[in-house]
Amino acid sequence: MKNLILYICLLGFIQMQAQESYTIDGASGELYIHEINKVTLVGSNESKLTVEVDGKLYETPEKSKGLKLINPAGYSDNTGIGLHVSKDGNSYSFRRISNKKGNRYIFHVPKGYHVHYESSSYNAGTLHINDVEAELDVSANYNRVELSGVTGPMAIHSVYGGIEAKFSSVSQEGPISLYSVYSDVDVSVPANTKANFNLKVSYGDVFSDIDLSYPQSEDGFKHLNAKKFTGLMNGGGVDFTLKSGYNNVYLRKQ
Amino acid sequence: MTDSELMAKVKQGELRFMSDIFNRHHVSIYNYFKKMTGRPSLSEDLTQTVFEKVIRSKHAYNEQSAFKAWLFKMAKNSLMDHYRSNKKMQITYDKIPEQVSFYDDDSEKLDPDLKAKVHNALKRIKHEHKEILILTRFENLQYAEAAAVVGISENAVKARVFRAIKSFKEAYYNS
Amino acid sequence: MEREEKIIAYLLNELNTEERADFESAMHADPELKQAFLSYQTSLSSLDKLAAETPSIELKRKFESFLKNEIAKPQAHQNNLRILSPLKWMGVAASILLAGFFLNQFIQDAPTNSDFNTINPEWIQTVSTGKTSERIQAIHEITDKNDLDPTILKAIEEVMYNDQSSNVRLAAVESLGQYVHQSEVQLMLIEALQKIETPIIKIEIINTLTQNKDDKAKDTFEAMLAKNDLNDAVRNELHTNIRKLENIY
Repeated sequence: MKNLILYICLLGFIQMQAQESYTIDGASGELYIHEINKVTLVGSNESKLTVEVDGKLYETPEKSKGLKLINPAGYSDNTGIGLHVSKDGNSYSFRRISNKKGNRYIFHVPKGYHVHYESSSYNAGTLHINDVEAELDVSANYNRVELSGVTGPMAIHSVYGGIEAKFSSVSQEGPISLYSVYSDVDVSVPANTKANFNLKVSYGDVFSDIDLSYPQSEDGFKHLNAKKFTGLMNGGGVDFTLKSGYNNVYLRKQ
Repeated sequence: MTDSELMAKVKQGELRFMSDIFNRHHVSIYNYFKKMTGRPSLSEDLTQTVFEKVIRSKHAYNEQSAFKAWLFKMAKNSLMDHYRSNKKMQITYDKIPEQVSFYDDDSEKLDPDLKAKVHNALKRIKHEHKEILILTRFENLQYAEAAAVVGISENAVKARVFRAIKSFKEAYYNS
Repeated sequence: MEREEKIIAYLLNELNTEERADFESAMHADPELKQAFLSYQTSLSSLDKLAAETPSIELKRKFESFLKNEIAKPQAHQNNLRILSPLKWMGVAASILLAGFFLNQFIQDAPTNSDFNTINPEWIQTVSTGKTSERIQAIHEITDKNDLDPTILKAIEEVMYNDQSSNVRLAAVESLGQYVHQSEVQLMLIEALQKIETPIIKIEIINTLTQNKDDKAKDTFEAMLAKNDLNDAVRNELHTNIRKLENIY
């Protein structure tokens, strides 16, 4: 009985949390996410962008009652969920305003959006990107980036964090590039993918279970350089660059 | 004005605001070096270097990041650079007597015997432990700020603080 | 949580109300735990009583005089790189096209298969207002198809400094990298290495310059290590590439 009551309280608690969100109407636009440490991007079929707080919203200290969280750049919490949003046409920029570690934010992103994520903080957590068909532009320093159910086009780099990506299909609309300086890049694509894989490693190796064909260069010689080469999958297709400075590149088929 | 606002002015070329930044922070930066090395004049030199670097690297400062962490990061790098270029001297540090500083100005808070005990314990623990104790206990940096200075995650800072307190306690009672 | 960790967590005020109460009652019941707790508490409070020391007045004097000199110096050319608006870009484009036009008049017989029409307004439009992937594609296409051409070079340089996405700027460095054996491109990249702050761009430029295996790159790297307050990753990259240039790897 005691457990049941606890369970019901817990359910109520979870529901209360689910109310902490912020919505922008419209199925397309530019989404900029600046320096928010913990972010999950999820694809959405709705014609609105929703930002949701994962878990309980970070509580401001008792002493701050009646005061506003301020920031030298003039940002304040105008979303009610601890973020600042600014609007320019149909472009929306979200910023973190507290120095505290803070929450994970879940962005439900419609297909018609282009998403730009930027982070340079030591405290940045893994960036999760699930089932997002929107175009992605990610510039990270410490974050690990994990993608699943994605299609491209996308350009993603992280200095320290690794990149793991599971593609549901590979869009031929524009180039795909995944680059980590210090960690590995691990990618799996469907077996029928058509792509030109540009594979670049400085100190690591490239591993794959895909039959790639290696085009001859114009002078008739095969490229023997194992640090930088191009391999075509199913006769070639969209430009798909995988690059790691000090670690390995893994390319798998599903 | 906040530190960030002052830095924004400095960045725009209004160097006179550097004077406020120096007044606000030079004592804590000096104390970071002093507690790390135990040497007053070296600590003054390094403090000077840090503030000269702030002017030189003003364009690299990003208003979004915490100024204090940025400043201490620069202090840490200056100390590392100093160690690197004076590898031989590093060994002699610990042999330099601390007496001079004992009579400085803080005798009211801690009697000289206890103070010597704290200093001796700090000398005997690992460099990284000493550093994290000075940053978090003495300079009152938040874990996130200390993480940025040391270049490890916030969780790693927390774990390091725990280990540092443990090894400090052992050194404190075994000195 | 192990016993000692619990003590430290208690002292650091990291336990919640319930845990604190539990810990306090455990301490009452267990004299050994209490003893261990007291030894932590005593040593930590001695540490916390360590007071700030005051530097000599000489430090302040020295810095003030340094600052005075700095203020007296004429301000170096401000190198605040901005994001170019499309309008501004059209300006750049116009000057490029104009330069191209005049250059064409002068060197009509020049043995070059570069074609100034390759920088057409449509390309400029894509590179200034297109989606990220379109801008990257545009950068790749123009360098894949064309020989080294001053106008193209200039355009790519603009992108390397000014595009708002560091992924596009990265693509610009990669494209310029194909021409790094040309001394003007090498100089362009050496200049950019010092002006651009973004670590990933710096790292890319360092690796690109290393391909040339000449002393100019090594000297630049060493000079940077000597003076700047560098990002750790950039510092590491400089060290690695200096060693690479010295053939230690």
